[in-house]
Amino acid sequence: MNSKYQYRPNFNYFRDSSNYYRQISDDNDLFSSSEGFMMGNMFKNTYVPYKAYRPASLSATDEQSDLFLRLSEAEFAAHDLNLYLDLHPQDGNMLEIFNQYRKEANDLLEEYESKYGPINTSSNALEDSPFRWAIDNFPWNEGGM
Amino acid sequence: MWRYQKKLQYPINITKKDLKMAKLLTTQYGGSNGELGAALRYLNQRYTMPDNKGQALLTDIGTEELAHIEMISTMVYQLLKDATIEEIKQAGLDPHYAEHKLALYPTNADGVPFTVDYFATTGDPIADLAEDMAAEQKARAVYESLIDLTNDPDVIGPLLFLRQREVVHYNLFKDLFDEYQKKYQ
Repeated sequence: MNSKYQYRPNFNYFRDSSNYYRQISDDNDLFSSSEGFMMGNMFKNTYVPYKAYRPASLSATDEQSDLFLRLSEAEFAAHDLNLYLDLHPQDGNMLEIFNQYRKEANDLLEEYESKYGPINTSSNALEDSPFRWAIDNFPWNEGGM
Repeated sequence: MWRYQKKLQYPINITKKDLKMAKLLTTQYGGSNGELGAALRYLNQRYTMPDNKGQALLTDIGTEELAHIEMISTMVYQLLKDATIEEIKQAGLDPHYAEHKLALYPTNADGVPFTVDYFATTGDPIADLAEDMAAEQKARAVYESLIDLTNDPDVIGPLLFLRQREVVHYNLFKDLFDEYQKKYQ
């Protein structure tokens, strides 16, 4: 997903008493969502490996786990950028990337829930009886996600 | 308020029982540098952060720590699953079993129960953020010790992820600390 973005300056100015300043970000500084999720960090310059350990490679075994993995990656990317934006709310360029991941995560969540059951109690997957929230596995159980 | 999502932040599927590792890992649940302490510390400190930026960061990191509690709990639960009495005795978990059977209970690796002292809140945003930075570094160090103590890739994978999250959180707290120091001190 990273390759879709070209660097562009951000014109989101913030009036700070005496002067204007702007914050710019460049998504070339970011991992893709699948790399970032694997490593636990979207920002390339702050990733610190431990000894010679490599992050576990995450792979899907079937269609459901593939969709679930892509959902987890998009949610993670949006979350990590969310934390950055908490401290840099004026960074419009990063906000744009955040919004791409946020929308991707929302779409994947909807697709996952409609195919495989509810992740949230607000899910439309709860419309039909029986009440699947109480039937489907919780994440700590075998077969749980 | 909070809403539960029926998913882990990062996948955990441990197939090999390891009671000794469960005992050690429990410290990241209920130890002084554990995820329970972190979640409650940040969510408790956020009310007295001086601006919305700080309140946002502590809310969002505190919320992520709740997801980390769930990850650690899942790991401990899966490492203990189907343990026999003999295995429990061998791993030195018989005192735990006497009180809690195979339930989770927040203690450190020595079995010392969680205490509210771990919240460490002064109400001074600079002091609180310095505490939070130290907490993230200590949690990172403990994750590294735990990684050293196991060979199971199903355990190492999630621990590496959690360790890197400590690094990320530390950097964010440090940025806010530097900003507040300029502004308020």
